[in-house]
Amino acid sequence: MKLNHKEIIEQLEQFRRIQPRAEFSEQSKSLILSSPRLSPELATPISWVTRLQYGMSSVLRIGSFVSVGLSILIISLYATRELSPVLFPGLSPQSITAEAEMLTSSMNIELSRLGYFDTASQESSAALKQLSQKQLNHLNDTIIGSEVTTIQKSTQSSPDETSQINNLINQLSN
Amino acid sequence: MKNHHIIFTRLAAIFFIVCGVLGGIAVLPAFAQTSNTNESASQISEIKDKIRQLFELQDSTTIPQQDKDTQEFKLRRTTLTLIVETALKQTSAARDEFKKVQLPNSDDWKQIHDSILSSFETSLAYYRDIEDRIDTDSTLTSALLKNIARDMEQKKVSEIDPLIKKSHAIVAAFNVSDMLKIADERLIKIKLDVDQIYTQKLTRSQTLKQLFEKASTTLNDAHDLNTVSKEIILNAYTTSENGSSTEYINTLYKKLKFEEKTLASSTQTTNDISRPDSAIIETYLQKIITDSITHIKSAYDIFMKMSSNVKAYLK
Repeated sequence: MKLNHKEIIEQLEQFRRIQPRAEFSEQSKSLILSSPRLSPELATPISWVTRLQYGMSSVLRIGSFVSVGLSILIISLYATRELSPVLFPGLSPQSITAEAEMLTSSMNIELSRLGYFDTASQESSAALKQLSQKQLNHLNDTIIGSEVTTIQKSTQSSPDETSQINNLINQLSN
Repeated sequence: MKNHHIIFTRLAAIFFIVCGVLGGIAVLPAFAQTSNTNESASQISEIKDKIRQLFELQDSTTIPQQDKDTQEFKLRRTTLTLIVETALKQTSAARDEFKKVQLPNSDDWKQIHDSILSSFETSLAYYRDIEDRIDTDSTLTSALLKNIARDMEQKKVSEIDPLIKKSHAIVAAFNVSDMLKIADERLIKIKLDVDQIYTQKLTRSQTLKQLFEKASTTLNDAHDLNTVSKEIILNAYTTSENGSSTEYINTLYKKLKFEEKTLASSTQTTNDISRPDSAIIETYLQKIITDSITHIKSAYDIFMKMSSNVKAYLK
């Protein structure tokens, strides 16, 4: 429906008279007053406590920048020395140590393989000889040898016992 | 955010598990070698114990003779079985180690490789036959077991043990070559650093340069020893009729005998120094392989000294 100029003006006059309900106004006002302030400077005048807090946070900010700067300086000085592996990778102690450990393990395997086999093969060859040769039942050097060892152990006092006895004698004589 | 945290934690756990497994696999060969040696040592100990039991049985005067004979037979059979098992494991392990070595691609080396492998298979078959016979032959007696032990001892000492020693020497010589490749690469990297240090005039001291020269000489010596060890192996272990190999070995033998006599006369020993040719050459071969390993170790000690030296320049 087309409105003429006069009717449009009348409708706008009606819109001007629109107002919120009283209780809605009260509710909105209390909500606005209870919400946190975003800009303290625009709110109530700043107290000395607040000014102190601001001052300290500035000091902290400056202090943290200085600390970071100093840390970077110290780290770079330390790292320059410790970065020798990066600056001189061939002489990196970590690389050399790791290589040396790996090679040492291989070397020890080779050396033990070369050395141990001689002993092991001699032992088993000796065992085969003992199994194959005619042995006298009683004049057997293995049996006699083990008996000698047993006798020696039973007649000797241990070095620890000997030194204990000597200590006791010393104490008695003093 | 929570989902990202869970995913990250799981990925990190998987990463550490994989690293642990790979690290374990990397050190497994060292542990395997150690456990083979430990197992062999415990078997030898058990064999010695069984033989002692056999002798104690023979020495006993309280056991009736019939029981003694029965127990003696059982002990002999058990002990011989144990010796054969030990020998089989040793020979089998040596064969497996030998198979892993990458020999040069030449006719001479291929001939040595095939000959040694063939000898290994013959030796293993010999031990398995004895094992089967002890297990299954119901006509065995103590006397027959003694004969088997005697034959086995002779074959072992004259053929099988020398075969295993040869294979060990070949494996060791080529493993030393692999170690030398790693050491050479390290030396090249270190040379770059040393040149840089002196170019930038970070030090006036010649210590670093002197250490480098010493390490380089030590590694050169290790190379020379390794080369000689392979030459000896190639000439001593060949089975073909080769005039130059025979001449090489004879010349080496004469040189070693002369050195031995010189040493013997200087120390005024009366020991008999005449030994079979192969024993002197085998001993010499082992010595130079061991010396080459010692040289590589010394080179790495020098590398570590150089590395500590460099830190001082950057203070």
